[in-house]
Amino acid sequence: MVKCEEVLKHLYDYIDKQLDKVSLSKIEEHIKLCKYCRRHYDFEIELKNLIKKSCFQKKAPELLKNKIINMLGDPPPEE
Amino acid sequence: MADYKLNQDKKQKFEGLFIPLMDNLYNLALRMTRNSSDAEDLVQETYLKAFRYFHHFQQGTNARAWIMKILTNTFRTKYRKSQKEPIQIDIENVENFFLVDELKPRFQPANKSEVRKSEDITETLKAYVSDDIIQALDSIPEQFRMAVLLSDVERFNYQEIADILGASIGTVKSRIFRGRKLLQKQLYEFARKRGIVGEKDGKV
Repeated sequence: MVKCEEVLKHLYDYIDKQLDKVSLSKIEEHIKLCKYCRRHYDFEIELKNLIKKSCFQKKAPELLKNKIINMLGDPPPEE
Repeated sequence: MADYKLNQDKKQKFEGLFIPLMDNLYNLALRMTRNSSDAEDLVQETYLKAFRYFHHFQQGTNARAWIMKILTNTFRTKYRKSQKEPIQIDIENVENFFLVDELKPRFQPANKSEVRKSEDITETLKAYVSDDIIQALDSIPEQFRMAVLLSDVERFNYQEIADILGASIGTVKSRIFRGRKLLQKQLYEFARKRGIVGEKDGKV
């Protein structure tokens, strides 16, 4: 089995699905069996989701949306 | 008259593809510029530019990635120079920092032999509200922040992020790694200031 050290080193590659099949299944296997690394994995996933939630709370202002739609097709401004 | 019809078709097609993405762009622009008035300007300029270059867009390719690239480039040329970068953080010393290990002692009930993992981890992060995450993100240097946002918020893969930022995959990978570590270090500082974690745990 791969070492914890190795798993933590490649944890982001694993989470972001950047690994080839062999490395992926090695880490997957390890995380299934190792409580320490699973905790790290779960934490990173939760944090990733929390970042997404925190940074996707606003809606583009309606005024801005309408302004942009109205401007489309206008001649480009002088630069 | 034919020209008018053609323009209307183009406008309709453009709007159909890109207007639904405006919330994505606006939220990302907010975290790039860190204020709402610049974010609005940035989004507006991005849309006008995208419309002007719409003939370069290849139908069937990823519209979100295409317009995000325009957003990123516009931000770089227009806003980056005028922005004060936050104080440089010691990047080398955060590589082996794991927030989850620092938060462990306080949040893991000692007397229960087996804690269900999902509850356990959710508890750990309950110490933080969205404003903490935003404040921590805003504190990290822009190049790292961008990479983290494109991965965590927009969920682009490394190749897509590399294309958007005009960087190599290796660079993207290292920026995401360091960006997340810096973010975790910052979140740790918040917890420390609030007395949630002890001083000595924070040695990194």
